Amino acid sequence: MSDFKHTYPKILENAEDDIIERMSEKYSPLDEDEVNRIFSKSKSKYNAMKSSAEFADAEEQDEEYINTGMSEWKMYRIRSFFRITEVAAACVLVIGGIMLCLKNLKAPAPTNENESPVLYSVTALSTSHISESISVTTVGVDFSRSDLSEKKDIKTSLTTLSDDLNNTTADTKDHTLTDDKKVNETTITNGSSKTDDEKVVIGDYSAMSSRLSYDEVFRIADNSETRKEFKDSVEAFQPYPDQESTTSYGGEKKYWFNDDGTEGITIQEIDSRLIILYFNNNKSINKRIYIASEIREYEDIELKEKQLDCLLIRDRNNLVNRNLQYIPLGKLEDYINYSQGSSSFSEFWQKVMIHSCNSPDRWSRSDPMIFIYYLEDDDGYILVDLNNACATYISENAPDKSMDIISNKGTLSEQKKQAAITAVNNEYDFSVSQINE
Amino acid sequence: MTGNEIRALMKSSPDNAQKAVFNEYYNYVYTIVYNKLRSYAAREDMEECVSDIFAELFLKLDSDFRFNGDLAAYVNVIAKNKAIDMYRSLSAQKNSFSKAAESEISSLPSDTDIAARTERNEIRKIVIDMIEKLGEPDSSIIILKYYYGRNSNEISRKLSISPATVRKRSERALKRLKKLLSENNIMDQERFQ
Repeated sequence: MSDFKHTYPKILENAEDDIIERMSEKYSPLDEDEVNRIFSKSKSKYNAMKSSAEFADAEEQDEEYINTGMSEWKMYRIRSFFRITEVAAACVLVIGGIMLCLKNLKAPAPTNENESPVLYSVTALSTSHISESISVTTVGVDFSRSDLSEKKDIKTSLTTLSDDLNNTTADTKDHTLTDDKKVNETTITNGSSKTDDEKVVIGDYSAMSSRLSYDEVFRIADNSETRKEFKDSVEAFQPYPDQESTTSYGGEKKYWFNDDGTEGITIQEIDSRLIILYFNNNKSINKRIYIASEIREYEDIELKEKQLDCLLIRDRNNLVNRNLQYIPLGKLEDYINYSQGSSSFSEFWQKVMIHSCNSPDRWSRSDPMIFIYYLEDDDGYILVDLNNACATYISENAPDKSMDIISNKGTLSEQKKQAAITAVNNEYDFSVSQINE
Repeated sequence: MTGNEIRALMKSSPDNAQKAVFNEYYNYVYTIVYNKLRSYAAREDMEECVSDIFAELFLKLDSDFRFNGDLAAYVNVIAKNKAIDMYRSLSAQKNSFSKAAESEISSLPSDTDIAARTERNEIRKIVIDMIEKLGEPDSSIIILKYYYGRNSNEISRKLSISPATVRKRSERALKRLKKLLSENNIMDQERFQ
């Protein structure tokens, strides 16, 4: 069924005109807000195009006027005037240059005693990149300059990457601070708020190079079968992260989706696990993304770990609004059978996870862990509370039909039930704070 | 809507003419763009592409517009070309320009694959027929959810039904569709590739 969900819409792609006409007559995916947004975008683009076309027309008209016979004498005078000016400017430049050279040859430039001192401090820093087959150690030199008179703290980092794999290269370069330094080689921050372990990695790509976006990350994740494939694809798409740091628990790379770095993803490598965290400070969103197929690697580890993986997969699916598409829905009888056929809650939970492909429909993101599973033939759903080791059936249309399916340590509190019901109704993940409210 | 009608509207009020053209064709244009770029572009990119198409169309209407026939054909050509341009620019950005995919998207069949394309188009027609056979709101749910990738909340707002109903109906409708397609012998995976 899961394959079918993917394949049948694909067959409709790139269809002939008659099918497109049929589809457009019958189905309209856009809501009113989207329609209005597209219309206002179209209008503003049209206005911009129109004004630039008018500007181009005006320029064309000017040229036409100059090229007419009527204005010939005028053009001649203008050209002569410019020619004289050009010659005069060239003379001034040449004489000025000669005078400057002579002056410099005669005596060294006097130092200004009153000029405030400039202090340079040099700090060595080391960053380690660890990947499965490549080990590169990068050593760079961090220059910082304190200009006391201007009360500015300008920090410049230079990192040199070594091409030799499995080798360690230490490159130290003489580095002079100049104003005309290439933008893509240096990053200057006034009063830098970066912590010591968060060094700015300087990428050598231009502004025109491809940059990761929210959708691109998921597209790559969808097409990646393994962690390495995902990492390689990300690096191929955007060779350098916007920020990189090495912490006590592993490496961390940040890719920004906007210029001020308030939205983006953090890729963390912890004990050979790859955790991708989406952040959006403007909307206070922090979510974890995970590559679903990676779960194969953790099949033989503790149940607790499996629960964590389960949470991450679902979170990722939820982010791309595909959370309900690939997971088979169960029936109430299935869950009752799992409960009756299990000697412990753990056994029941294992069966539920296998049935739901380790993907609940909703869940709380931390303790107390509550998972929600929709049912196929009913408007209700199953709540599983891991802390209390219990599962409850909630009927949306007939509350009196709600019942406990399994309860080993206790039952689900009314407060938690309400939080979960609200989460289901609004299709969002409910968190501890909502439950505690 | 014909070129003559548009010209008459433009004379009386250009703003109203633009609004009328947009209202008449926005869904058609979005369907064309989505159909071409579904696997390649994000929703935002498609919206950009649609707005580009209408901006160009408005500009053409504004100038000396001499097209007399049905405007749908004219819109179709602009929309397809823009979608292909968008595809190329996205491919160039990703450095993964695929010639095979390009020939597929630009709908220029060679002699050798005409038979395959015809068969594929027949399958598309059957799929659409079967989806319509599901009846409303199931057919709309199936198209909006799985083809257009809309979530249950968006669909529920669009169709004025509850998200829970969307969730349940989509799952059931998909099973029915699969059964219908099996009955028509078009469920083998090779034909779906």
